[in-house]
Amino acid sequence: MKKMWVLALAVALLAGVCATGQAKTLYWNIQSDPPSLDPSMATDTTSHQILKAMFISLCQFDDATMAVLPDLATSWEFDAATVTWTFHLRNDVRWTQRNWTPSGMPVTAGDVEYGIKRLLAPETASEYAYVLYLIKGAEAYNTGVGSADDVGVKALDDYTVAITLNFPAGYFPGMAALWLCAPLPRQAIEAYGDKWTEAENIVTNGPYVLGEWVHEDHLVLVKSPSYYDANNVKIDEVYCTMVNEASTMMAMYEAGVLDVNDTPPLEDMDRIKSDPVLSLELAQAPRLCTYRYGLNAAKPPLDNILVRKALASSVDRQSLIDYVLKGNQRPAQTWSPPGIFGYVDGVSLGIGYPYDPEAARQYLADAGYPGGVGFPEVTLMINTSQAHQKIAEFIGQGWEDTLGIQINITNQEWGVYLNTCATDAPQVFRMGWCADYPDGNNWMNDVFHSGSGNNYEKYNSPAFDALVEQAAVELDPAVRLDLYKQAEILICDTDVAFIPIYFYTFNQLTKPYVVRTFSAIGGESWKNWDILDH
Amino acid sequence: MVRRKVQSGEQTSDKPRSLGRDAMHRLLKNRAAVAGGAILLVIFLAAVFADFVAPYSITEGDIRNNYAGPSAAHPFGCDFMGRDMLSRLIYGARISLAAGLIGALTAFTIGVTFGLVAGFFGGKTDNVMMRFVDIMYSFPTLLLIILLMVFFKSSFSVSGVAGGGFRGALSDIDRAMGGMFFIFLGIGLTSWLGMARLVRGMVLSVRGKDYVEAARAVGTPRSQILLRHVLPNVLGPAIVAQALQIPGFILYEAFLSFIGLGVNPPTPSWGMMLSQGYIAMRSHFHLVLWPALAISITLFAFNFLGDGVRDAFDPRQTRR
Amino acid sequence: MFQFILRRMLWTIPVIFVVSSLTFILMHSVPGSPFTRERALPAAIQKNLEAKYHLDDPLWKQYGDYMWGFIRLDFGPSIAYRARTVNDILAQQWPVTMTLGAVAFVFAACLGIPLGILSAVKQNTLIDHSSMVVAMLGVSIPSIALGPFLIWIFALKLKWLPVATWGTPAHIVLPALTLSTFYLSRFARITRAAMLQVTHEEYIVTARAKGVRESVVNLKHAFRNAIIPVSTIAGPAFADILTGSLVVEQIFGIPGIGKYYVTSIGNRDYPVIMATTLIFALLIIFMNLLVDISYALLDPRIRYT
Repeated sequence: MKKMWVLALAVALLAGVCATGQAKTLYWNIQSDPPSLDPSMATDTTSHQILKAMFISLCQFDDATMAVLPDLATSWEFDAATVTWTFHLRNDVRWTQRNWTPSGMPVTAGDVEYGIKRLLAPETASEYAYVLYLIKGAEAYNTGVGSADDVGVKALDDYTVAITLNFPAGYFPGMAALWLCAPLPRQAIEAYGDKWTEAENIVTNGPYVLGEWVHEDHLVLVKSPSYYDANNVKIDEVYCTMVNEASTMMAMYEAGVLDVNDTPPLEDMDRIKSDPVLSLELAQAPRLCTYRYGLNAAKPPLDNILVRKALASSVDRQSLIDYVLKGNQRPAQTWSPPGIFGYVDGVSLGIGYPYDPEAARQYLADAGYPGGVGFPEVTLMINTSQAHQKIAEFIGQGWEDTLGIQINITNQEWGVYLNTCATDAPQVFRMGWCADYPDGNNWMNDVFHSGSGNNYEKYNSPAFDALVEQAAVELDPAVRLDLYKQAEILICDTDVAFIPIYFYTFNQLTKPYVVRTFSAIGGESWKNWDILDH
Repeated sequence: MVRRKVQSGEQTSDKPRSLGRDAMHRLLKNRAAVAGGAILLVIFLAAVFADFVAPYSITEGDIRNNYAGPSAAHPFGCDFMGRDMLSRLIYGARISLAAGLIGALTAFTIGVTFGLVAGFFGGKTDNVMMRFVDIMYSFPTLLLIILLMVFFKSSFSVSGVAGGGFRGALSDIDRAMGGMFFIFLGIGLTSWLGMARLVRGMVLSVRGKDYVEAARAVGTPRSQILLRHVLPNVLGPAIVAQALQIPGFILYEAFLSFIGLGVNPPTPSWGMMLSQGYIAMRSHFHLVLWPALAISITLFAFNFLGDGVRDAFDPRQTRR
Repeated sequence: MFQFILRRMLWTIPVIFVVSSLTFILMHSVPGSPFTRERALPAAIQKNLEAKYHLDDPLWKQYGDYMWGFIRLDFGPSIAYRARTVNDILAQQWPVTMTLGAVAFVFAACLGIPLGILSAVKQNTLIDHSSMVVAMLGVSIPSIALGPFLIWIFALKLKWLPVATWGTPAHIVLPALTLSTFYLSRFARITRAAMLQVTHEEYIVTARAKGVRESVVNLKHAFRNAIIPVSTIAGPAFADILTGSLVVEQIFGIPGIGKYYVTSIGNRDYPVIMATTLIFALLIIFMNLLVDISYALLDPRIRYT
């Protein structure tokens, strides 16, 4: 049955295509089978990439500027008195059912309300529900003490939805651009339960539909004829293979089997940069992620702030980037990366600790360990991975050489590692963070607030908490910027809670016939791409 | 014993040749085995005297040299951290040989003890113990060792383990050995079954021998029979059999390090070097080539030597 | 014979019990639940999730429930992949691994045994020596070294074969070859040794004396008796090839159960791990039984009681 519809659509495409030209297929590789294509459940980048192509949300981000643009919602306004954001929706968006009939059911505000409430439902057990706790009644509902009716999301009519928050959050439209606020197809979910995301059941409303999904092997996205902006979608089909090995993926790209390689192995970077063809296909774009080495200030000798300063000052970030990472990343002395509202340029402003071996040695001496004598062994733990291992060996070696101390590098497998960091974090541990939405609240508050579960350093500063709490409710952008700047200075410079290492970049290889955009927040917008004749 | 008349000029030896001597003699005539032994000896010596033989230490490296190809200063090139490949290979020999030898020792100890007890006490004990062995035989070894390694690494590898004691002590030992301790344990715990069966079989056959009967009749205590009659006859073939398994252990360690369940960095295991090199294979083949050659040559030599030893000890061997 | 088979099949019950409990205990002893995430889950949600998958039941109950389902061939839901049950996953992934294993086994047997026969027949000639050296290489070069090397030569440099993944018969060649070399070589060596052993037996001498043609002597008389010791390693061969596919699937990116196994351990996807281990174990027992039966069929001197 399913195969027939794929065939039918392919024939239709072919017919349409014969009229207009060649069928445009983008050959992409996702590195694993998406664990879940359910917007309420998906947590990883692979799933998000596919979801972005299949579902639309209230708003969307401009790939280049991170500005919030309309998507399902055409406009929105905020009412300070009721602390409510009201979104006005388009009326020409349709659900595309599994047999791709264009006149599917319309996407309504009721679907938005359903989507958000389902995300918050305790039975769904969504891992991202906490992000929406700023909605009135959300936390209570999600933890099982409140009811769905008390959640501050109401469909005022078919095309207007009102979302009431606990406090005015200027950044809320950014959150409305996340998959979290996407409308969901109630009929399909209630009919098929957990299996509603399989290719034969799924109902979507985005630029692409799920044509075929062979688990662990490949996945095909086909252009949706009923997408509201279908005329501007140029690529007809996206064929996703699922090869995990980065080196194999590179071989596939070089053989022309893949059109884009979004994770070229860093071992090949030298060769790519010196290759006449590949060097022209390589592009780098900023990515909203930061890599840090967390410090457990409860464990001696790191309880001495001078020791932390010494460690922070002896990380040669530039050499790390030039020789180990090779991806033109940016050294980080502060936490939020460029592109996030609240970013401060720590390097040029002198916030944080640049590489300064002399100063580092001085800090250590002042701490009572001149030349590293008497300094106990420090454990640096990472999760099992080649890439993290290289970075750890480089930085660990740097510490040993500069400070004369002993570093013990151990690794643990991911699940165990997270557990260890949460319960009894080692002295130094590696963590990263990628933006859920491009605002400092997601970086400062969601991560380092003393009550946050993501605060593996167990950083507890009432001053910091006050700053970020105030910034969360503040409406004036200038005031917010200043608050975040103070927070950065406090956590990176004054308290040295962790050592920021670098801001990620996207290094991607793209065939010259692909006309594309780059998304800093992750998840490419294939609907805006094009493939030239080749 | 009748003595032949000695002709002039003929060499004879008066000493009767024991099985060991005989085997040694046959072994030395096997050129392939000797070659294998020689190569192994070189590797062994290099591993033991690594500090003197290797031009650099395993951590010494200039990051600016990373991925460098072969040169005068670094005949085998450099790895991703600019460390000398040759030196890391030499130190890596320690890891592989240690995994092979100590893993074998662990499996040997467990297996021999088990087999001795089962074979010697016989009856119900033997039945139960051997049933256990039969059951464990069905557990796919690689899967078991993966499970064990995940278990070990997660429970024991954290330094400063809260509440020290046993766990802390084991963690410290493991760290001191660069992550090898649990590999030995893992290999040993999963590979003793064959040895147990073999030893038990041998014990059973020795038990039936006349001299054992005689010893019992005379009233020799069991422990004495075990130590003086059973054990010496069993040890020889057991050691040979165990030695033949060493290449397999070296392979296990390489596999485990390849998938990340092996040693901790910067300890240079050949398997880990292979996994690091595999990713860079297309751009820097030498990172794969040397560890691959190292493992292959070592196993090659071991297999030739092992074959030779097995043939030498096989009394039924006839070769034209 | 029938009694023998019956007893062996009854034997699988304690085996299943031991294998499953050992796996269960080990997996649950490893810290970290399937729901440990970098973005920490609120405690209430974690509790909900655990309740949904019965992970908050006492361990013995979880074990009992699982084994009860296993007997009825219901392997439970996958924790990591919410939309799929373990049955779905197995149904998809096992055929791939079995295909790979079967092809590798066929390579090993159909290339290794003739090689061994040839070496034995042409003993001590160049053919013999070079075959044995090749066989020795096969036993010594591990798949983690051979696989990348084969990819490098055949897929990248010569471009004869695809680099990785699965789909066409061409995709099977390199992984199956990598997987088969170890047992190919063992088959060759053991066949050679067995053939050499047999050629000294009296019935061979008699056959030659009778004037039977050499090829008939070799194939009909010698080989049929030599096959017996060879078939003793057929069982372990299959078992090792199957488990060896774990690493090969990783190297070649093949969507089989081996690749899944490693990631499932990482995900703490207990139902998948249990099901995979048990099925592996059952398969091994089954293959060993087949081998023993064929042993009895091949050698009329053997009678099972």
